[in-house]
Amino acid sequence: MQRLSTHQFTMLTAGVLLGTTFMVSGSIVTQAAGRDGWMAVMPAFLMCVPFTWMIFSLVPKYPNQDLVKISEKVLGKWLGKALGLSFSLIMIYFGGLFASQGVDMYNRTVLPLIPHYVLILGVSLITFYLYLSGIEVLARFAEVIFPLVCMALLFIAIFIIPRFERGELFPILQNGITPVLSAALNISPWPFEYVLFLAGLLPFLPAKPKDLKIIKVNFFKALALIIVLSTIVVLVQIMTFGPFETARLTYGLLVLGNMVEISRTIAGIEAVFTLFWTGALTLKAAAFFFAGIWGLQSVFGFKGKKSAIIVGIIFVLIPLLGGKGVNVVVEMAYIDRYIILPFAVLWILLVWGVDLWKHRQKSL
Amino acid sequence: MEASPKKPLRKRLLIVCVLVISLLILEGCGKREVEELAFMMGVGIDKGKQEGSYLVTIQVAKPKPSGGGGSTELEDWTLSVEGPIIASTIEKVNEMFDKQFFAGTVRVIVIGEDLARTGINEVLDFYQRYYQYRRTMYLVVAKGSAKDLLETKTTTHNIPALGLLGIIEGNKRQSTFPVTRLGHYLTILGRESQNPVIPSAEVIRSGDKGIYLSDEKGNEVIMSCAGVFEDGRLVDFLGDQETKGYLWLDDEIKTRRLEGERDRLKIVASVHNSKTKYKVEMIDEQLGIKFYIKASMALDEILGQQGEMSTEEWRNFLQEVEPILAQAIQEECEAAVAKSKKLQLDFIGIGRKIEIKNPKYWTEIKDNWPQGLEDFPVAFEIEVDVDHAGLARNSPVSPQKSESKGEGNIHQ
Repeated sequence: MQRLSTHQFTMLTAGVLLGTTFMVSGSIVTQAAGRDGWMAVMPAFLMCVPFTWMIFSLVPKYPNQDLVKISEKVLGKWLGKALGLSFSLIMIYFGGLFASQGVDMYNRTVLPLIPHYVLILGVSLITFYLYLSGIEVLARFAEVIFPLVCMALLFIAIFIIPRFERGELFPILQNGITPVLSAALNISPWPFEYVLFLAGLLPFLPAKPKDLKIIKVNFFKALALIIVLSTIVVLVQIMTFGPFETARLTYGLLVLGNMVEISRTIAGIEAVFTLFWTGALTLKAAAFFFAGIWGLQSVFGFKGKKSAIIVGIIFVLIPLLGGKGVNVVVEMAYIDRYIILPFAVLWILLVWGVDLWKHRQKSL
Repeated sequence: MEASPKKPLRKRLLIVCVLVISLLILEGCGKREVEELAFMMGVGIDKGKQEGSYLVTIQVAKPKPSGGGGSTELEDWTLSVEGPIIASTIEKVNEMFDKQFFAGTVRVIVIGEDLARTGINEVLDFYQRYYQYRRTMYLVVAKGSAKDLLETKTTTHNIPALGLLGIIEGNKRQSTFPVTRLGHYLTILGRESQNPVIPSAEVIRSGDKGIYLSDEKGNEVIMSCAGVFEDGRLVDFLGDQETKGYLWLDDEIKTRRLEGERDRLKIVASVHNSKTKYKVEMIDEQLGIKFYIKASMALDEILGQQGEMSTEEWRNFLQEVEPILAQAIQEECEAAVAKSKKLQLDFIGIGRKIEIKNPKYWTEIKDNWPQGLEDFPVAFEIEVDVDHAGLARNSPVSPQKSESKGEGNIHQ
């Protein structure tokens, strides 16, 4: 079995945590919290910490097993399988929607005429290639893509400074902390997307106990990096557009990219950035695809490439036959809020809680 | 960690072939070559002759065929189309033009005065929505029609839109009118208490405004002053002094010339650096806003100075000049505030400034804003620092005259 190095784990964690959240984060948090929206990023991402800690606490007890298999052992075969199947379906469906979101992103900005299927097939092709090459290649892909995405975001943040509007961040907390918490709640499903991916990734983590410690530390490093990066992205949007405009723009970051002017001739280089955003999108879509197949393999005991091909076809058909444009954005928000967040919270709490209860019963 | 097995040569060759073939079939840019594109430089929008229609003027730059070598000259191609919807006018133009319009190069949007008075927010919808346009485009209100402005060939520019762009970007060196980008306009529009301001431009002929052109039939475009908008409608133009006052209060003065006058002494100073801050504080036993303006300047011209001064007298003279310049700044600021109170439109953003500094107080007064602006105390504290007076100390004067008039006449 392939295993990730601690560095690969960190990059993969950071890449999947970030995903393409930076595209819509500004709009979502400012809709709820106005100019204080940037404060919502940290509490939202920190919400996943206890659940990640619960997952990590199960690793030494159930080595080389993902959460689906652990569920079967802790909760019983059928309940475990039912949860595992739900996990797989959510991952595959959501991963497919991600590719659709990429089309929406392209169609609104640099390539409005690009056919739906071109981008979906492009993203899917890379995803299949990554899957067939294994988790280590996905991690290496993250090692390449994530730093590029970070650099692109920081590049925009720096070169948009001349367009900052004065005083847009003030007054701070004019309406109290409640809108900030409400905004945090709106984006809180995002880190849980990663938590679900982590549930499937467990068997590929380094096996040595000392590595597990490093992995826990590295998870916090990646989380801190994503919180800082996402907060900067939201701050920059509020300072450039003001809260009202930030909330009005669907993909504020794409508009920022469009506004970067280094000189009269070097302007309108948003197409360059879009390449990086596609990388981030593919990374996250692939992560969901991996997790979906891992889940099915654990539930049904599939092995080999045939099952992956069947799942792959379904993975392509979801965005091809599903909704487009704003429908996808809305659908993803609903799935995030009403399926991913409650499912992740309940599943992890249940497995961890029952396992803890069983161990206590044994020790009594 | 397992090492991945090496791919056989055939597989590698297949991948290389696929990539090479992809290069041939993936053309990019929507199958349009660059020479098939028409690069739009500026857009003008006026009210159309038909009720509810718009007259959209499109200015395209096309490279002038040259004999080779050197830089490519550009010539303009401008045409206007009338239609009820802005976006469809572009389509109409495409029906008679063999090139595809590319709007990513538009730098200036000129709005005709008539349309501005009717309302521009609906008109701007297309420009803030369609992906090719950028929020960094400059907005300009034409005194008169946008079409005329964009058809005015000036002595310095073949393409009027580029001429306007040059004037606007030159404003970085001389802050005499506000610079409003589309993005800034939309941001101000999103503030509940502030009115947007857009600079105005007009066509002048030889003799207008004291400007004489070598070609008496020629025209020039001049940008000065600004229009104040309420709900997207142009309400009024600010005068020269009011515009400059607004720029001081908005901390937008970078460099410019300032004239001060007292008795027979006239001084022109160039502002090198300035900073405007503000505080919400008690003014005449009532909470108000006080602007603190600091400016450093150099004297460029002195009229009415007589006699020769020693170095010490010269230092004293510079100190006496500073309040004169501070007074000039104050007059400009007061003019802007007076206009804001008269129009009952908060284009200076006083309400927003109160909200930033004292949100509780703003909550109390915002329901009565901008009507409350009329009685709202506004004060100024202006500090001018004259660094130097250029290359010479005294004005040109003969020694005899200086002796006969004496040094007592220096300080008028």
